[in-house]
Amino acid sequence: MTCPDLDRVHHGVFAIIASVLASAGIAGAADGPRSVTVEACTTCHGPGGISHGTMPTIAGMDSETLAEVLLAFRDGSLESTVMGRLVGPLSDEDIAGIAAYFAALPGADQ
Amino acid sequence: MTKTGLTRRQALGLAGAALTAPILATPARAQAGAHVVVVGGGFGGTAAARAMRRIMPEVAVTLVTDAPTFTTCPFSNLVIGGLRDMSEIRFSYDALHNDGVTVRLDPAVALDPAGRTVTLQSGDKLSYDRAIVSPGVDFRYEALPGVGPEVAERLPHAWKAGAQTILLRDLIRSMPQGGTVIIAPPDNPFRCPPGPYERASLIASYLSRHNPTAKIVIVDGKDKFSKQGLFMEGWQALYPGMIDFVPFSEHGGLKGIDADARRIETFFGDFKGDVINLIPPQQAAAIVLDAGLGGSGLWCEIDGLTFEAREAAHVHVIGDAAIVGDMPKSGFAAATQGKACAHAVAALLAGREPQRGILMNTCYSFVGPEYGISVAGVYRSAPDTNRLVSLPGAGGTSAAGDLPELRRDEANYARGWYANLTQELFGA
Repeated sequence: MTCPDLDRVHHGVFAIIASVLASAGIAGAADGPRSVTVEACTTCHGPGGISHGTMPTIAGMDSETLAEVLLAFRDGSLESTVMGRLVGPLSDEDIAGIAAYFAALPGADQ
Repeated sequence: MTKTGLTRRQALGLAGAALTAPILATPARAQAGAHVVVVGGGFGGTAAARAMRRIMPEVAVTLVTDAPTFTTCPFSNLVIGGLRDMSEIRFSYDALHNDGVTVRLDPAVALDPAGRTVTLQSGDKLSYDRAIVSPGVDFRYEALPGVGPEVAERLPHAWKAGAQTILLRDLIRSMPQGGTVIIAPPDNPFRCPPGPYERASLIASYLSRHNPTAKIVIVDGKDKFSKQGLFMEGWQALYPGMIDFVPFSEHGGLKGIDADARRIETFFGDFKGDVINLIPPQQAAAIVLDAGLGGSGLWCEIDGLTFEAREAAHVHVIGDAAIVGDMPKSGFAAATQGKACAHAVAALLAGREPQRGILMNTCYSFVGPEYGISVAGVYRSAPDTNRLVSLPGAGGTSAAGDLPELRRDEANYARGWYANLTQELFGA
C-alpha cells in the first residue's frame, strides 16, 4: 500500500475551505448556516470561544491554524483526549465554517 | 506542490478576506412582540434563555423557576466526596437579568398547549408564542416497595443537588469506622447515567482517606452501566476491594426497604448498610406529563430538529424530561439542546427553516480527584425522521488500560469543562 500524499490531501482540503468561505460569507454568523454547530464548541471551550478553564481559548485563533488542528484531529495525526472522538463527522465545510467563525471573534486579550 | 494553483496559506488568506466583513450579520427579525417562556432554571432552561436573547434580542424571554440559585448536579459528587464546597456548585441568575431575561421565582405548575399559557404557583398566567420547557425529572417513589418521598430524609437520593447533597455527605462523614454505604441506582432511563458510579468513586476516595476499612455496595437496578469497564479499572487501581457491584441479575430486584434498619431486601437476599443512597426510578417532571406531552409514556417525545413536542405545537421540550433521540440525560446535553432549541425557535419565529446542525455531548466523570474518564457523542437529526441520531465515526469512551497521564489530563479537562459550562450558563 502506498502512503497518501498528506500534503496534497491537505492542499485540496484548504482549497475547499477557501471556496466555502468565499461563497458563504456568513459561515459563522449568529444565524448563519453553521450557527447550531459552532454552539457545540463553546460548551467546552467557553462562551464566545474564550475559555475559563483547562481547554484552550479558540476565539481569535488564526483560521488556518484552527482548521489545520481540526483536520489533524480528524485524520488522527494529532493525538487528543476527546477531540478525536468529536470531529469525525465534521465535513471540510463544517471545519471551514467553525474555523472562520472563531477566527472572527475577539480573543481573550481583545 | 498543490495542483489547485494555490498554496494553503494563500487559500486561507483569501478565505479570511472573504469573511471579515459579513461575520456579524444582522440577526433575523422575529414577529413583533414575540414572547418566549422558558420553564426551568437548570442547564437546559438557562442555556435556552440566554441563547434566545443573544440570537434574537427583540424577543421577550421570561424564565420561571423555583429558587434564586441553582445548584448543579454535575460536580455535586465532588461535594459528597469532600473535594468541593457547596458554594462552588451554586449559581445565581444575575447574568440572565443582565441579558434582559425576566427571571420569575414563581415556578410553573401547569402548561396549557391549546391556550398557549403557563400557569405559575402564584396563579399568574403567562402567554407565550413559544414555550421552551426544561423541568427535569420527578422521582417515582411509587415504583419502590413500601416507601414514599419522605424516605429521602433518611435514605437520601441526592439526585437533585442541594440539601440532599449535604445530607448524604454528612451521613457518610459520621458513619462508623468499617461501615457500609449502599448505593441503589435505578434501571435505565434516568438522569446522568454515569453519576452513581462517579459517586461510588468519590465516596471511596473520601473513605480511603478517613474510613479505610469501610465498604461500598452498589445494588443496581440493571446489569450494566455507563463507562463500566473504565470505572471498574479505576476502582481496582485506586480502591481495590472497597466497591462491590451487585448487578440486577444477582439480586432480582427490590422487595422491601426498611429505612429504620437501613436495610434493602431483594428477591435473592438482604443488604444492610450504615448509609443508603436510594436513587429512585424517574420520569419527566409532572408539568410535562400533566399537559399530555408524554403520550402514554413517562417521557416527552420530541422532534429532534425543532425540539417541539410530538404531542403539542409551540411547546419545545429539552433536557432530562425529553427523549432526545440517542442523546443521554445529562446537564451538558441539556445545555447543548437549549442552545440548539433557541436557534430553532428563533428560526420559527422569523418564518425560516430551522438548521440541521451538529450537536455534541461530552460527559466527564471523576474516578479519583486526579483520575478522569469521559464519554462523548456527536448527533444530528436524521433528514427523514428528524430523530437525533449518533453519527458514525465519532463518540465513545476514553481508552482503556493503564494510562495515568491520560487520566490526569482528563481530570484537568473535567474541571475546565465544568468551569466553561457554568460560565456559559451563569457567567457575566
